[in-house]
Amino acid sequence: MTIAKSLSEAIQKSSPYFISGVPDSGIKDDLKDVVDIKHHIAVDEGQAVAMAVGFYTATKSVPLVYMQSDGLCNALNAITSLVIPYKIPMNIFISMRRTHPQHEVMGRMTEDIVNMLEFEALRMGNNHLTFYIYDKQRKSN
Amino acid sequence: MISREKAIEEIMDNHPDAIFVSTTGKISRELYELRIKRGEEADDFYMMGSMGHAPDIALGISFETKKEIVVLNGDGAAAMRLGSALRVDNYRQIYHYVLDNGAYDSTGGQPTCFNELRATFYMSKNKIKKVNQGCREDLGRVEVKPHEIIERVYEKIHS
Repeated sequence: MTIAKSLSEAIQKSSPYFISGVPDSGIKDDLKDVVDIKHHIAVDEGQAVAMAVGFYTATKSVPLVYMQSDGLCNALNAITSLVIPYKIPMNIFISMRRTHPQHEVMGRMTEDIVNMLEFEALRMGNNHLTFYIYDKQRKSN
Repeated sequence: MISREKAIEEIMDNHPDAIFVSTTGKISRELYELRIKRGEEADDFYMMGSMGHAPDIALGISFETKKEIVVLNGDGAAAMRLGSALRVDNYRQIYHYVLDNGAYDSTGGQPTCFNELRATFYMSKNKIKKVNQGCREDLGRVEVKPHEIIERVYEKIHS
C-alpha cells in the first residue's frame, strides 16, 4: 500500500474526517485514491490549512492536509498565525520535491522549517515527510 | 456612509443565531466589544492573524454544520486572498460581508488595491458594505485566548 493512501485510510477511520490539499505529480497514483473519497479541493495550501482549522473547530476531529514541499510556503502564514497559536492539532503530509531547479531550494529547507516550527516529524520513506502537529502541546494544556 | 462599528452591529441584528468569523485587526476587536456591550456571549471566531483566511475557516465549519455562518471581512483581506473571498459565494449558508473602507485601517489607513477589484466583487454575491475609515479612540483588544476561542465556537456550533 502506498504511503498517502495508507495515511488517508487511517484518517478516514475517524468520524467525521477531513482531507484537503494541493496535488503533487510525485504522488499522483496515491492521490487518485484520495480524491475518490470525501475530499475537499482547495485554492491553495493556505486555504487547505485554514479550512482544516474550521473543520477542527466544528468537530474536534484531527484533519489531514497534503501538499508538496513547495506548497509549504503558501501554507506557512496559516500555520504560524492560526494553527500554532490556536493550538489546532493537524496532520500535514508533505511530499518532497528536490531535483528540479524550482524545487531545489525548498527541498533543502523543508525539514529545517518543520524543525523550527517544533512539529513532531515522522519520516515516511525517503521521499515523504509526515508531520503530526501539536498533539504533544495540546496534552500539556 | 456609516461607521464600520455601526455596520457590524446591523449585521449582528440581522444574523442573531449565526456563527461569526471575523478578520484580522479592528473588525474582530469591534465585534468583540459589541458582544460585551450588548451583553451577548463573545463566542465568535476572532481571527487575530492569518489575514485573508476568514472565509476559509467559515468554509471548513460549514462542512460540519447546517447553521448560518457570517464572515466579517475587510476589503484589504478580501483582496489579499481573492480565491477564498469569491469561493464562499457558492455556499448558501455562508454570508460573506466585505466591510469596505478602501484602507488598511488597523495599520494606519494606507490605501488597499480593492479599487481595482471592486467591480469583480459587485458581480459576486458577496455583500459589500461601504463604511467610513477610523474607529473609536478607546477600542480595546479581544480578551479571549486563541485556544479558548476554539472552545467557545465549538460550544456554539453544538448548542
